[in-house]
Amino acid sequence: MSDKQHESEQDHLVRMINQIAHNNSAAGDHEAIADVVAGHVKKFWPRRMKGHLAECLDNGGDVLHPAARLAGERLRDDGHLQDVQPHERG
Amino acid sequence: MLQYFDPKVNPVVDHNRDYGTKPSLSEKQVVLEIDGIAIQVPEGTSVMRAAAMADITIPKLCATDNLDAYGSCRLCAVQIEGRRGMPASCTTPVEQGMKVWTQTDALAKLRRNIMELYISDHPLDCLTCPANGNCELQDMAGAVGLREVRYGFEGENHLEAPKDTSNPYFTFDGSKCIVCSRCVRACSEVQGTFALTLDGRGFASKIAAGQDEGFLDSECVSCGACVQACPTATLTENSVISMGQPEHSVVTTCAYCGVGCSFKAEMKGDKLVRMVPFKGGEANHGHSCVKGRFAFGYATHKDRIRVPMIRDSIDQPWKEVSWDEAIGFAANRLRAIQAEHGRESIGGITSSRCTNEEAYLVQKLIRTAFGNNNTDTCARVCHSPTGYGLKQTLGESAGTQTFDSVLKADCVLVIGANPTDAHPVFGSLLRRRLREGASLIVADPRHIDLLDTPHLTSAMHLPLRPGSNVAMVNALAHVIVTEGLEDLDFIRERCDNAAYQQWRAFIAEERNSPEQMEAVTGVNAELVRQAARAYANANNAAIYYGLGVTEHSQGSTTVMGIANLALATGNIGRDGVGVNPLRGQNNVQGSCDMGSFPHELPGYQHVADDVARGRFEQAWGVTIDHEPGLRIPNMFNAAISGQFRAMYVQGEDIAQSDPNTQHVEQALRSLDCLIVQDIFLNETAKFAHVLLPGSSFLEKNGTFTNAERRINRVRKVMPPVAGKEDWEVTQMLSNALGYAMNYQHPSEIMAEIASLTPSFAGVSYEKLEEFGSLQWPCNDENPQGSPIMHVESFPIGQARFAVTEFVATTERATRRFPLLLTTGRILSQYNVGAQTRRTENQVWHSEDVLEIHPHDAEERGVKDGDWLGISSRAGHTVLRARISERMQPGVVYTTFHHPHSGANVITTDNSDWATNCPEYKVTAVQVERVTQPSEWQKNFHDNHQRQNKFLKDATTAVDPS
Ligand code: SF4
Ligand code: SF4
Ligand code: FES
Repeated sequence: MSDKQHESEQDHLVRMINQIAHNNSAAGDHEAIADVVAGHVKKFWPRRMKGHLAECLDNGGDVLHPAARLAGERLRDDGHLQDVQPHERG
Repeated sequence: MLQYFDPKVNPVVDHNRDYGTKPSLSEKQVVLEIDGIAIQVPEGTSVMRAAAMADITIPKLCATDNLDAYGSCRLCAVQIEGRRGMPASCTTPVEQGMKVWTQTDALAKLRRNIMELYISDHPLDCLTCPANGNCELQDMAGAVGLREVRYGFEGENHLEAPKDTSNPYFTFDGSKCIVCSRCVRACSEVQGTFALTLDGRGFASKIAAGQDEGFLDSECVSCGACVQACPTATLTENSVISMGQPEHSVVTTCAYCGVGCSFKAEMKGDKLVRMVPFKGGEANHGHSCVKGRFAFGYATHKDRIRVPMIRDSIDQPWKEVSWDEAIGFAANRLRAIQAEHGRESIGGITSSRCTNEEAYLVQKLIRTAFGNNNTDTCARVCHSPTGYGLKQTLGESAGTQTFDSVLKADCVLVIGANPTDAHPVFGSLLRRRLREGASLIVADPRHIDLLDTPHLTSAMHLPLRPGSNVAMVNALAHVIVTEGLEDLDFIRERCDNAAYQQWRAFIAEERNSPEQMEAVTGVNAELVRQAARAYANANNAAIYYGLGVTEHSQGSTTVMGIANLALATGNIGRDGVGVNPLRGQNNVQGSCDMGSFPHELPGYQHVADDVARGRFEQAWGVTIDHEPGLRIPNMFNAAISGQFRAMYVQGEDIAQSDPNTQHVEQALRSLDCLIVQDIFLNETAKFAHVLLPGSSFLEKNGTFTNAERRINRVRKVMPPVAGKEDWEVTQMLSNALGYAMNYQHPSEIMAEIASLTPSFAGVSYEKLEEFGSLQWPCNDENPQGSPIMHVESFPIGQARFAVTEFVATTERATRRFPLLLTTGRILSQYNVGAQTRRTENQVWHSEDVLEIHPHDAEERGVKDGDWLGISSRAGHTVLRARISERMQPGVVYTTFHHPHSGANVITTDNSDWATNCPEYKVTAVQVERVTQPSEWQKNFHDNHQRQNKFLKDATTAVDPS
């Protein structure tokens, strides 16, 4: 895997989650926005993206919109980002 | 005296019969007697139609039942008790108690005289005429018993009138014209183009296209309505001229766009002679466009892939193999890749061109045999924001109306759609309503043809800047709220109050006013206010929108904003109103309904919903992942970084249709196994290892779902060129992977869909036969389907207003890229053009051009026809210039129908925040004159040559024995 590619995918993901935060800024304060962002990520993002989000948080998550970061942390604390590798079944 | 009175009451309409005049919609019934037979019909019905309903045929020439009666030929004369003379039955309405006679000596004489006059100026070459066997003039001569023509042919006549063969699909032979003007009326009344006229008067009158410039050079859009209307051989399909009259027909559905027109495929054995729009089709009522009617030649084109092929690497020639070998090769590779790289390392893409049953089967294959949710569909790149936005606000991912609903609209707001080009048959219907007096508001950066509708009464154009849709929709809503134009009763009864209050407070803020937003939209605030008032004050106001709404970084927000507008004004839940997405490909609605998205099972049931998932798990006998799978852009990224290694793509050309081509190509090149199932070697197939021949819509059974949620039958009229329908191929692959599928017919697949999908619960092939089509939701509550949605309540109970904050796209005009590029489509070509480019439709659009405003052109020293280099931050391509004032300065426009244009080389990876639908409609670019194609185009050309050679050199490994 080329680092550059990985980096840009990561950047792209940051751009996307920040975009979700910006588009829902009318939801209220950061807490409220974070609720919407977390709900969206949980519902629509594949494991791969959730995994990248976890990595991003591990690196401090400074590039994230404050509400997006809050959302990420909540998801992580609730265990929604851990299941990064699909459990092998059957 | 006792009279037995037993009138025939409104008999069932036979769509293969011509009743002469249009049906009357009146509820009031009238009883009359024709030739002694009593019949009851709606008031306003013509005597001619009433007779036809009683199975009595009155001779006619100028009347046909999709046009207004004209009364020019007089052949349809009848006698009516108590009335003098012989009135024309096509223009005489029925009256209670009327007694009509259709066959008397006096009528016979009159009709013979009329026919004699017609025939005296008509060539008598019936035996060699292309209309022989299907000519109304011939039939009428027979019906009236014409035996002699006393006038001779010596006098002045039209027998030498020249032919017009300029249109590739039909011929105009003026010598056979009887000047009934059916063609002229079809062009104006049905199609709404007004390209044909009746020139001159009396004997000198003749039919002219445009300013007598020939069909091809006139405004004619080649819809063929005139050809269908013509009672003689004057206007005839070239295919009929060369092949003769068809002998049987099958009703099926067009595969070209989201209108989903019904057609009679008229056949000679297994050869398709012509497509005639079916009058019984609820979406099109007997009309069609150039694509559906004429552009079917691709199905038998020499480029069709006829044999399965495989290769180890994309730098090798193809090897022709048997079906078994190709499927075995694919299955082995998929299993080996999963064994090495994990279950998630493969995925697939369902097709919006294939049937519902086929899309269902591909996602089922992925969720069962592949064991993951890595399924996506091209709707990702077009209408995914519609699904998201409408589900959030109205509770269901679909448009709310029928097409016919527009005939009750008083104000029509069109946002980011170009219906006369992209959804032509709906465009014609809309134009009809506009001629009848409905007002039109167009919010689009470009001056679209709809604004030039002949006999338009009131039209407004809001020429907004690309990327400012949300600003515009908010400004409109702001006016509605602050000027007290809301429908408060509707809001109170039907909408969630908390959400409404929150939205109302937001939208009333001054920053959302047209005046504040003018800087963003570029549209005069007063004009926006007028538009808002027109929309809000109309009795019935309807919104139609297209890809110009969805393909933006705020696509989903705009869709929600549109729903807000409709909710705030109470324009939901009845005829003539609603929120109407105009879908691109023929089965986009269907592919979304069928669970093609990675997070949703069929019927929009989320994979995390334990109950819904449980039902599928039980029916399918597998465990289904509860987390969403990869979307198309994720698949590409994962491919480039090496975790995603194989893909099964049915009937989509992702290499051409997806944004940022160079990135897509890099991803496709990284795959170890790309399985492409298509009818041609498309751009994606150039990167494939397994090529499975697809079948066209003429070669299979199934259903399509159009933009009105209408499920229409697709019926097989000829055998698949490579022997298998697409669903059979998916089934083979599944079996080879060890997941058993054993469907004998698509109807069995539909039965399974109905058993697992609440909104389809009442759908079956038997019912489709019975009713012709069904609009979902179709279930116990709505056994015959649901034409209009949300009549009494919303699937989520109360509708939810959504706060729609305007967030500017990051794709902005800069010093380096000062122009905004937006993209669209044109009438004659379809999507990536793989089909239409292989038909005569090429005469209308043989290349994509860049439309540029004269001001921007002059600044750059660009003249019409110059080669232009177009660069964005993603890439560079070259197109020819067309100077045009359809856009404002600062905006350039192109289409994407030809792969070597590389329009998507320049589009970026920006996307809708909620669904990742790419932002095709806004790319910042610079444009300059150049002398040679771009680097990408050169590489494209080389690869094209190389891959075509690989195909040509395909070696056959099929055992000859
Ligand atoms: S071209 Fe055909 S439809 Fe048109 S006026 Fe002549 S005969 Fe009638
Ligand atoms: S309007 Fe659409 S569905 Fe109808 S004929 Fe044209 S392409 Fe086909
Ligand atoms: S059919 Fe009635 S006047 Fe021609």
